Amino acid sequence: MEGTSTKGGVLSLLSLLEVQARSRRHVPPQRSRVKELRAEAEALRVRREQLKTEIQTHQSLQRLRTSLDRQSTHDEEEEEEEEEEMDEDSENSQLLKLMARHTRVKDLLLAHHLIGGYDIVKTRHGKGVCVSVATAYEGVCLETYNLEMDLKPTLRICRHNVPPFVPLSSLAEQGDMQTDIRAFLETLSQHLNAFAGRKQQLKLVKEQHKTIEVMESNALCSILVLMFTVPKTKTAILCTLNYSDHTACLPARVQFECDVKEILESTEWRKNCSLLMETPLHKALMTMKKMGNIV
Amino acid sequence: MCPAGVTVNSVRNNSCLNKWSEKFEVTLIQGSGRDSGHGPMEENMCEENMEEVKVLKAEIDQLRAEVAELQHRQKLNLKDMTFNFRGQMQDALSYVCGQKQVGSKEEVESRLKEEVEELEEDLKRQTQMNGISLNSCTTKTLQSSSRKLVQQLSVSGHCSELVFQVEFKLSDFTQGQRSERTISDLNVVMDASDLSSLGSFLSGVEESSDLLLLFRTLRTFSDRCDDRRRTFCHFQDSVSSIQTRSGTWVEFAGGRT
Repeated sequence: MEGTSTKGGVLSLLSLLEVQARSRRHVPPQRSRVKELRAEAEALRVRREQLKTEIQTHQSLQRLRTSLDRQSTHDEEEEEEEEEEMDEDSENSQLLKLMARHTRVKDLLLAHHLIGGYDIVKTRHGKGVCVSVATAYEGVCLETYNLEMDLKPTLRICRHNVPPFVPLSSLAEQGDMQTDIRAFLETLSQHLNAFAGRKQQLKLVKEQHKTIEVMESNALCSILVLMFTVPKTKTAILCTLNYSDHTACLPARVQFECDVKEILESTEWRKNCSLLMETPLHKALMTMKKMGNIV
Repeated sequence: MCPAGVTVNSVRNNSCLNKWSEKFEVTLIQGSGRDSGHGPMEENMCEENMEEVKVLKAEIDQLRAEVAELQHRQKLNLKDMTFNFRGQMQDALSYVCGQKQVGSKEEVESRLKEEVEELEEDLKRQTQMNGISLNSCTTKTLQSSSRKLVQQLSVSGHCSELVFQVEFKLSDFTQGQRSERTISDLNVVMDASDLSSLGSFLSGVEESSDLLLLFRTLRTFSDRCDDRRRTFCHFQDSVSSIQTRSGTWVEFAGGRT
């Protein structure tokens, strides 16, 4: 039944229906704005409650943790007092106590590690252990050395990353590793820390004292030869530092060599000799520069 | 868009006008009758909407301020105790904060308990191996950024009879791949009884922040004290029947190094 007159009529009817349909679907902007804002407000309320719960939980954990720490140093009597405070929220109190214990034990394990503990770890289902020796110098934490040991039939080092110039096996023998592993580890730690300290001093000398040439050094950093230059005259002085005690960070012997013998006999240079034996190298050189002895 | 061929009158809600008024924050002056396309009911609805929008906006501002304040408080709390948990601790925290989907209370508790007991076993091993008994370790974050973390630590415990409390700063620097850890501002407090022999050693150690040397020495010192005490007791038993002329016991001087 399509004719031009009905077509026009149908079209206008269709567009009217379209408008009506749209105006039903389309929520007027003011209403949709209200919806948006309501949703935002609700989201903020949820966030606020979440934060409040987190803060409260945090505070409960802290209280529990503090009382745990106090309990470890005082009598059991005090424990009773602390318990009463925790009756609120008793629904989660068991879980919170476990959480507090967890944070406490993690912190204690961290402390053991930081104070130079051996971080002993069981390996291979109890057939072996792994220990770590930490090194540091002047507060700077340096290399960590690890040893993996078999427990049976006898205590034996099977793997390690200790450098070859540290006499590990003879230390194990001398230290009687089998019967007193701690004594062995203490000695090893002394050697490794001293090596780390000497190595660190050398590194600092190279960084801080570029005018001083490092002529020779060995892997163990137990022998060091430096070249100093005297200001003004530009005389060269060769300095040999001998760290014969491998558990020490300071040299046992300091020797100077110079074409101009008078310089070495001066009071200043005698003082420098003592200085180098008593002070960390990079600091001693700093002093010598300040005193104008070297460039 | 107003569809062509449709007069304003027949459109109940004047979408165009409303959009325009909102965009330019202009209050529509509500005309009367059919010409403006607003009947009396629509008029009231517009006013109500405006009111509600105003109220909601005010509420949102208030809520935003509260949330900001709470976030600030949380940030301060985090300096005293970390809330950065992983694994079982993360699950437990989620549970306590209302997210019950991590598991039932029994499940969460038992998994956490297992982990705590493992860690406490580990602590016993470390205590035995290291020869040091620690009572407490508290940490406070002083500074925290993506490259630098500075914490203040306070560790107390005893090494056989020697009781100590040690405080120091722990700094962690991250520069690209490398990270460097430094200990500084070392302060040692020890039980006064053996202080005379340890005094100058302690100041030296504090000056060079040599935490490792401190504990190596404490161990050696306390081992020697234990040795001396054992030897003294041994002698005490075997000379128990001997007295000096003045009537005092012979004191065992022990080995001095």
